[in-house]
Amino acid sequence: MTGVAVYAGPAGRLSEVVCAALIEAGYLIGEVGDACDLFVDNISRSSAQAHAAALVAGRPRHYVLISSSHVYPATEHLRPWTPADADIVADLAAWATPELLNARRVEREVRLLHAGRTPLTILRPARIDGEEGDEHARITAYFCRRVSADERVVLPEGGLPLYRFAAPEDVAAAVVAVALRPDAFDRVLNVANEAVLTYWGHAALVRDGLRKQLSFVYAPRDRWVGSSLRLPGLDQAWATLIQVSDELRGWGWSPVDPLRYMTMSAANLVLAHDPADVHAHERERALADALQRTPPAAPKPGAVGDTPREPRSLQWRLDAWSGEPASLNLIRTDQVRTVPLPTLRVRRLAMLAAEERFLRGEYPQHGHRALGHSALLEVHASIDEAVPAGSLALPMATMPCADPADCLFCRDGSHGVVGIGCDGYGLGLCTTPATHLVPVPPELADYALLADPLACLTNGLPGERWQADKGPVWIAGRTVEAALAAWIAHDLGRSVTHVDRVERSHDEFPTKRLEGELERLRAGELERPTLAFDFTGSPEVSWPLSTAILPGGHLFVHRRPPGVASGIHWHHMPVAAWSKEMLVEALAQLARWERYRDVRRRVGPAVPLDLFWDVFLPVPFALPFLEDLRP
Amino acid sequence: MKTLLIGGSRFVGAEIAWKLLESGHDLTIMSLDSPPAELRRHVEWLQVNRDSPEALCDTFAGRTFDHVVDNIAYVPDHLRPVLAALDGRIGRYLMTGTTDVYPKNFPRMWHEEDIEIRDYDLADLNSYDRYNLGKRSCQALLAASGVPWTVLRPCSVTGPRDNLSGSPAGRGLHWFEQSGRSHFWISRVRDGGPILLFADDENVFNLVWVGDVARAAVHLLSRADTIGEAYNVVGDELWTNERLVRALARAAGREVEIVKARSEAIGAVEIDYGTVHGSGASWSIYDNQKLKATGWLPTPAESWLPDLFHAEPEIDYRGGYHTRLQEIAIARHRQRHRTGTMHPAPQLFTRAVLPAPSGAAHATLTELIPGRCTPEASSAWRERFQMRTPDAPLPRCSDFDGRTVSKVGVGTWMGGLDGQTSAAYLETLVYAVARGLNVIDTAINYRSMLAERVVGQAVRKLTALGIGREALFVTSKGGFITHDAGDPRAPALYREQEYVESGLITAAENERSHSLAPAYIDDQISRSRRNLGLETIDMYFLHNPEEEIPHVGRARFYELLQEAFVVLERRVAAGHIAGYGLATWEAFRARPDHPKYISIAQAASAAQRAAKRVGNRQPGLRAVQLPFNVQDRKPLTFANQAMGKEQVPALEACRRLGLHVFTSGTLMQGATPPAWLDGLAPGRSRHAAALAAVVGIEEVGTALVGMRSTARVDEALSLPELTRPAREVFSLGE
Repeated sequence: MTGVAVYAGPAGRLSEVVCAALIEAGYLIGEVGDACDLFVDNISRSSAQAHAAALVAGRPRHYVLISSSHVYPATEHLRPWTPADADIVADLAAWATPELLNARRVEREVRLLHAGRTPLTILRPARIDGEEGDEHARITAYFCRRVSADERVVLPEGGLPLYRFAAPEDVAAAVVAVALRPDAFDRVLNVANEAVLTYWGHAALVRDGLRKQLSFVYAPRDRWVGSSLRLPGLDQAWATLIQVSDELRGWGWSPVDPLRYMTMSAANLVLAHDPADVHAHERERALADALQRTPPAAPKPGAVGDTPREPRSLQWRLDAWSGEPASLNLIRTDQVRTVPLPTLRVRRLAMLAAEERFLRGEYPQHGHRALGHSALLEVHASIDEAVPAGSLALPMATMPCADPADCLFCRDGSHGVVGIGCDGYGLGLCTTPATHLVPVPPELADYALLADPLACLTNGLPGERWQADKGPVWIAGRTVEAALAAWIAHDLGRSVTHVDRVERSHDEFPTKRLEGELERLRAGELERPTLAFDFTGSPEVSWPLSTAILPGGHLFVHRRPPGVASGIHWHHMPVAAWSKEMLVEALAQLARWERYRDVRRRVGPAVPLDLFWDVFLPVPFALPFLEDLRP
Repeated sequence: MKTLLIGGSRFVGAEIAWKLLESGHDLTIMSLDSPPAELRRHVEWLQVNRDSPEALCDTFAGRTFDHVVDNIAYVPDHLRPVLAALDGRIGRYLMTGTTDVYPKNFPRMWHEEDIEIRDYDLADLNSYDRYNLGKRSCQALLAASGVPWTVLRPCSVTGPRDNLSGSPAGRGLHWFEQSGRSHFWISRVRDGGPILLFADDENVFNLVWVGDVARAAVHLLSRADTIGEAYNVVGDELWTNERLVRALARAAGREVEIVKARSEAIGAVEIDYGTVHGSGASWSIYDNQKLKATGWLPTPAESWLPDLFHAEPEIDYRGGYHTRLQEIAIARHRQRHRTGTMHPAPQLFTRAVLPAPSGAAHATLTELIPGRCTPEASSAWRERFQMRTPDAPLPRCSDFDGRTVSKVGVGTWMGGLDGQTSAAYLETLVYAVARGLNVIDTAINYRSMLAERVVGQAVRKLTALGIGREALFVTSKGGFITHDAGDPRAPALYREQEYVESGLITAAENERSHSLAPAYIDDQISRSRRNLGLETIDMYFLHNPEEEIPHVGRARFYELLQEAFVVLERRVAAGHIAGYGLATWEAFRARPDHPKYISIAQAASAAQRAAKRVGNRQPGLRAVQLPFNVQDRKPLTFANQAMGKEQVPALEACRRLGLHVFTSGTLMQGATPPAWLDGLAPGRSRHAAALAAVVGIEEVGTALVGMRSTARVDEALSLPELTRPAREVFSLGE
């Protein structure tokens, strides 16, 4: 026999388990009031109770107080609390909740009562499952109801706490581990199970215990709060995220298996009727149904979410700063009084690789820019017969023009891309020399914006690479350029494979998984490509894609790949057509394609000006564009 | 010690190589790619393929190694040729394992012994299982080999030169790629755009700083009792993607806008976007108590998060950033379709979030707490502290005119004028004093008077909680002209009306924001006492008095100094300050012909004359404050102060004159400490070593360290024992 132990605390599972553990460890269990060697105090919840417990305990050889993790602040923290974290004198702190103050008061009282008299050990368990007032069991019950009834749980989005619990067996094992152990005297020890729970994880364990299916619905915070919903145990959850005292392990303590324990306790839980929760559950169902009736729509370019603002003037400016992607902003400015001739209205504006690279900071540039090098312009006023008022035109994007001496942009002889090197066409009203304009026949207006990327593709490949051989062409990325490149290759009788990191379906351009194609290539099932394009800009694509190419083959990219396989050539794709002739030829090519291809499908949705960010939402193999719909 | 490092050319391997070298290992690196150029000259590089038994046998014929550190063994077939080629000639084998050996789909922390270690059949496994079971099989092979072994199991490692890409489909980057997953969020925080997170991201994970992994490797090799054991190498913090993003933003001093979208909505757009440490529901969390029990401690995230930003000063376009515009577009779209505004997430990254004492901090405390630091109370507090927490590290203390003051003091200089900063300081001050650091340093111009007010609040809080005013040593300074952050007037107007129009300073002094005018100093002491709410300030410093020399000339300066000292002596006599001193920046470490040089002896003479004029028996000049750290060591080594016929360094001059020395800039004002410190405090951070070195100099009375987090306090409390005498440290790294 080790001695006589007395457990003072409410009857319940913890009481049973602690007494059983003590008996197993060789203790005789006495009644409260008996002389004893070990007094386990789980009853002191106030100073008065602490005094009473000290009185009935007499002079045991060891006094063990089962305190709680409430002594720690219930505020979000990155590292689990250790006992030292409660040493900070915080009783006057505003974050000191009544629970915290009370728990600290009790500990302090017990310490003072036993100072110099009785060796004391304080155990600070996380929430003890099944104890009176226990939030952990409430959470389990909360999820049990929902899993049983609906097999569905609604959670608010993000910002939820991590928390821990202690099984009664964990606490009992800790009591036995410290009992009458001199090196445990006057120590404070955290006790918790191994589990680190989130509400999701807790619900999943309940699901496993009940052997049910479970789906999760995430509600936006505003909807969650608006439905007056509240998760149980939220207030004190962070306080329970404690670090188990390492000494306990050294003394042979080990926690119960959390998975088995949690699934068992969920399976064995007897649900009490909770009228408050019934009402909450109803509101939760209604919210979940509403959310599931209207699932979150995939963002689609141009889907109007709010009413466009009433324009004050015809003048607007799509403003951006190199290297600060979030700087893109549509600014409405005052009406301009005078614009040089020819005065142009920007009807449509495309965001292509050049603009993306500018925003990502891949072109060195300081200062704000009106973005956009490719636009469909309506001539508002002009004295030039080649571009009369009312006609449509495409602007040249690069400089110098044919006659640099007279050109507004080119007279200083500088080279560059309009919209990148200087202000572009992201303006309501603008001007450019008539010599920079390519007239667009009205019947081509719908897809004239495709001319610039097409011109880059047809003219950008050195050495007539398109027709150098008849080998396969691999194209990565799902941009409009990928579609146009595929058409060019098809016209030349070359086979085309669209690849990407994942397989994706498309009625005209199905995309295969790059890794799978590489495996087939290695197995000798495929012919190696001699020409490849990477429009993704991802090194996760450009590198493996380069390994597929036949030595001596060519890889065209928009972004410099961090590395390519040896023996192949890589080239930057041009990002803007650099002559009028190229645009003219591209328009003619589009008109030819119109006869046997659905060119219009390569033009994506029109995005109203006020939704300007949507122009960057991907539309597979098509080009979304900004549109000024105002008369 | 002859040590072979297998795989030391990148990231973790290169970091381990540096740590081994710094710990005195004679290092040979075996790798196919070259180690970094700066490492090459210190090591022997063997360009050998480890999969070739013949090449290994040829290379290692007749060679013996005390240690083999294997950073790139993934399957037993990687180990066998090495063990065979060095059969019987390996003293000890340390292998880098992984925490990926533990399951990820259970909400629990994993211990080292929670998995089965044996030889597994690795045929037909997917890459993840092959990695997991391959590492286990490697450990089993080591255990059966008869070679003394240890296994490190790092979790997701973060740091500069990270050469791994993140989820989805993480992979090792090629040698030409410079950075990877560690910079995924950095680039996004840096560009200022909204950050797109998955609404259903329940992923909880640990990270470990790369330097900590390297320290763990060297530390474990230095201990015999770690043979035959595996150790999780894991930081203390529990992260989610959201918490990591917010913590990074906080470290960078930036606001961050987080937008959540459901995974199906993001997936439907078909962009190639995934958060770098994974998303969805998983738990990659591990217990690190076993390794900590050996004396290793992880670097707090507060320390390494800023280093991640320093390591990547530009946006990283190379990995994972190509979808950035689409992310922003989705975020903007999502915000537009919300019925209401997002509720701000709770503030993170504080251990105990005190409410911002905004209102209180702006209010001046009207009732002054009487008393000053006394010998009895300050030593009694130290004894009480020792009795109360016998196991806690006892802070080192020094004697200052009979008073017991801690060798490390809490500085309050840095930070903005926001309530969060005040809250962090308040929490830290209470935490620090509760743990035995009883010196608090502030100045009227720190955070435009807010710092003094927070100190005042802390003293009140501590007093109310039983830690008497007399146990604390509070210093403040005056000299710089500041406005009051709590005053509604514009700063320039405030200064004009409060100081210039009242005749305390001249317009020129206002222009240069500094004055030693006696009336102004007198006024500043009154304001500081009100701000602090203290009847007596224990030490009042003239703040950077050398600022005046270029404007008034050296001869006039010493006169001006004496006039200011007269004011200070009167205040000493009145009990408003207990003593005074000079808090300098350049004055005591500059050459004597430098325009801002001050002679300590001449200053002491001026103080004696001032005391005589006021009728005080002893001059109140009792201390100086000067910058001193492991890099700026002039106060210890540069003999620029005349003491009689002798020229001595400033610290020696102070010792001879009986002046208590407070050091500022002790941790180089947040700069990264030099690498040569690593070997001085095995298992501890460079910051800790740098601080221990300064504190170890006996002439240093109190080393001041700016502390806005309790982690800094913990670090200051558990100063390591250095492997070399502190004075020797200051001859290293020249």
